[in-house]
Amino acid sequence: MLIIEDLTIHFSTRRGLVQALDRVNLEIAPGEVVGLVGESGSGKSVLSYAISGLLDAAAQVVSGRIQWYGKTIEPVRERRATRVAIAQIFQNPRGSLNPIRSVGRQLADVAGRSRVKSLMESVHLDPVKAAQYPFELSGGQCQRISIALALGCEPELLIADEPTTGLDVTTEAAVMALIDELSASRRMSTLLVTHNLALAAVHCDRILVMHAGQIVENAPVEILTQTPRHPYASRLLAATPQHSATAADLQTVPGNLPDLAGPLPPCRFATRCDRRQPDCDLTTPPLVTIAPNHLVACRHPLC
Amino acid sequence: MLSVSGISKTFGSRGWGAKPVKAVDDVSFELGGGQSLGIVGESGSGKSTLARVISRLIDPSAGTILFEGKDITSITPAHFVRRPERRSIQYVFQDAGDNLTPHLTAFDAIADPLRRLLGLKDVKAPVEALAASVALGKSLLDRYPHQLSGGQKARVGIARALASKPRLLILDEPTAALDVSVQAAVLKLLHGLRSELGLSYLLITHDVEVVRLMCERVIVMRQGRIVEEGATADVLAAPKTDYGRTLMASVPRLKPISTVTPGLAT
Amino acid sequence: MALTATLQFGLRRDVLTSTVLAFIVIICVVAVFGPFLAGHDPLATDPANALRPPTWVNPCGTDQVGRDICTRIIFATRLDLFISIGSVLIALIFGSLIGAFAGFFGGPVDRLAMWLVDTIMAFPLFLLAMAIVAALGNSLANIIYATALVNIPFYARTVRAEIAQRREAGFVDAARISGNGPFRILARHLFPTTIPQLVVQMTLTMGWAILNAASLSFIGLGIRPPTPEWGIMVAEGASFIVTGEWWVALFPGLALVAVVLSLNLLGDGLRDMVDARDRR
Repeated sequence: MLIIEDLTIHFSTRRGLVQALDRVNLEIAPGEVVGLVGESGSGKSVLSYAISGLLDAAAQVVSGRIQWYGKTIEPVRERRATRVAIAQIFQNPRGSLNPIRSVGRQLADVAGRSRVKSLMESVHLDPVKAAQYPFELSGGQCQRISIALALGCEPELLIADEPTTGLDVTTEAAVMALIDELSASRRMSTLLVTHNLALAAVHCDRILVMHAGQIVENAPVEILTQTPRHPYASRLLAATPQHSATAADLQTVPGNLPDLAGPLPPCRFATRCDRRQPDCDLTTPPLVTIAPNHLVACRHPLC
Repeated sequence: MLSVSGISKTFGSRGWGAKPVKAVDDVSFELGGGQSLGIVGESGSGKSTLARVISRLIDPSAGTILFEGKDITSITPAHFVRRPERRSIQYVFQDAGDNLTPHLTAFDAIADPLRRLLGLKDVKAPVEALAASVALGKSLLDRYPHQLSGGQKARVGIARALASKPRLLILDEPTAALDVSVQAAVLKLLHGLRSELGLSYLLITHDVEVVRLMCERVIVMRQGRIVEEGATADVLAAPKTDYGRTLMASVPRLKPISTVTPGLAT
Repeated sequence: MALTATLQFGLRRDVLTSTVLAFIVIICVVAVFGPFLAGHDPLATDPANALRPPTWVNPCGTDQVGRDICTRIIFATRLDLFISIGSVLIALIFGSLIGAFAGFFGGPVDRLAMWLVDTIMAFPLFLLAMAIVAALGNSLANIIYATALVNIPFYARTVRAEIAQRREAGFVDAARISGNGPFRILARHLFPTTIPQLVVQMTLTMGWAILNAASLSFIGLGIRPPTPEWGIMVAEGASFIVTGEWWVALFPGLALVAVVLSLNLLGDGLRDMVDARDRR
């Protein structure tokens, strides 16, 4: 359904050329729930915007392409000509709604007035609230409206970009439950972009881990959360509080994210990796299949 | 060391027809020396308001706060600034970057309490020592907040809070805006500092896992009231209220709860 | 500091603003050094040479009593810049103080300060300046005071808005926790954050201050002849336009337009830079 091959995107900015994405490979099949996990600066938002065609003109596609049902689609807003059934919801739900228009009208703008009631019911909101404005609704309710707006386009792929960051944990659970229910009932694929590995582990079938614009591991959720093979994925898991019994046990990831505007080694994790070997600095490690459905971009993965 | 009884805070009505908001409603707890107490709550629970009342940034509407035996409730925030107790109770803010004055360097930010609270003139050596204790590179001291990463800003905030050698540190969501790996580093740092310096922590957070790692005891707040309290391991494993149970169940888990050993913050 | 970094970046990118800034620097140099380099005496009359059109000897021509207009324009630069800088500085100091206290303390302090500011703004500002100069007498000092007074509200409001907006910010609470009293917080932590907006306000006000002084002189208040000042020169030259001696009013007028326009453009450019930085 969605195939991304070797996608490399650079941005020309005043700081120089930012190499935001480097040879990203990704596939999403119909009905799959895929998690894209990475820390800030990993490029996960750039990737999600590229799929939705929301990147601005400063983005240059240096190589690779995004294919939707075999047809190549453009990541840059101004150049996307094809309409695709991909919808996106964002972080900061209240911020992604028009503050001076009632939520009912915003839904009607997208889906037509006749469908407002059914859309609101499908996100478990009382249709009476259609007359309210975003500032009158809670964060969780705003996010439900965003989801309803996304559903209004009858998407086959829903991209959820940090949908619950900033929401209370009980609200987060409710919103994610809604997304799960909708994915199942509508046979809709979901790409969950998040920095919260535990959240992705609970809701996704498969997880991709990103580091500094590169996909480093792509594995089914049980395998990634128990036996990750890429050093970064493993350290990321170990840094999650749930993984440690005590604070002293917490593991950190050494070093800092490399500056994407500066010179970059082929494997962008190399400078922070304790398994680095001379051959790591020759060329970028390709994403190879080391087990069924399990891909790792590392020359010396963990065993 | 810290004894809080019957603290309530009501914010007056503003505008026409707006009702007064009771942010904190009759909260009481005790905190001993060297201990760490977590205050867990969602938005609107009143945990941040409680933190600001205890740190004497604002006055409570009712109740008393006893710090090392002395009643500090009667001292207004304006006067508290000049009291010796100000040195003993310090605050680490949520690291949104908003808590560092934008035109002061990291050096000046850390030196500020040294100059104001301790009256030191020659601050270079103490500032560098504090920066070292939070693993903040010396070269970063000349930077402005917008030139620092989230983790670096968090460290500056911690160094600043430690400057006056406090006995009680109130931490308000110290790692909420940080990436997981940076959060791990900051939590480890805070944990180490507590035992090294014999501090007491009042840790405000919405993250149940952070409380599990950092605090021996925990209070859960909802709409201004305490709904759960007790030893962290007990409250997390077996909450007594429906809300407590919903809260614990909502946290996305990597593994089933039973296989995760409850943390000891020693 | 952050402001200079913004300026350096912004000036490199915005050609118009850097050109204008260069022009203003030239004006300042003219103001300081021009009188030493000018060829003629601005007050020396030469009736035989009255109303001569522009020549190599007198690049801007001569006025009705034979004085070299070019020299007079150069001398006037010093005077007009002095007036505008003087009044802007006074307005800045008093306006900022009023605005800072109003924004930080709120309540009755705010109400009193804003009442004062609103009262000043209720008058058409030029008429107010006229009234003050007419009442206090024609002198350079009075023009400066009058211009300063009518500009105070702009500074007061700018500073008040900036400080009120940041009053509840985290770093203010952090400063309290670090042992800073209210005045120290205001001076060291809050006020410097208003400087970018103040710089913008200053450049815009300077242009208006020059126009104000020139306008007052034009109608006979303020600077009296034979002191060279752009407004007076335009006034004196106005009556000669109909008889064909266009240069007497035109060159001082051009000088006025060029400087005020440059200041306005600089202010706009700076405001774009400051706003872009704030939005970041």
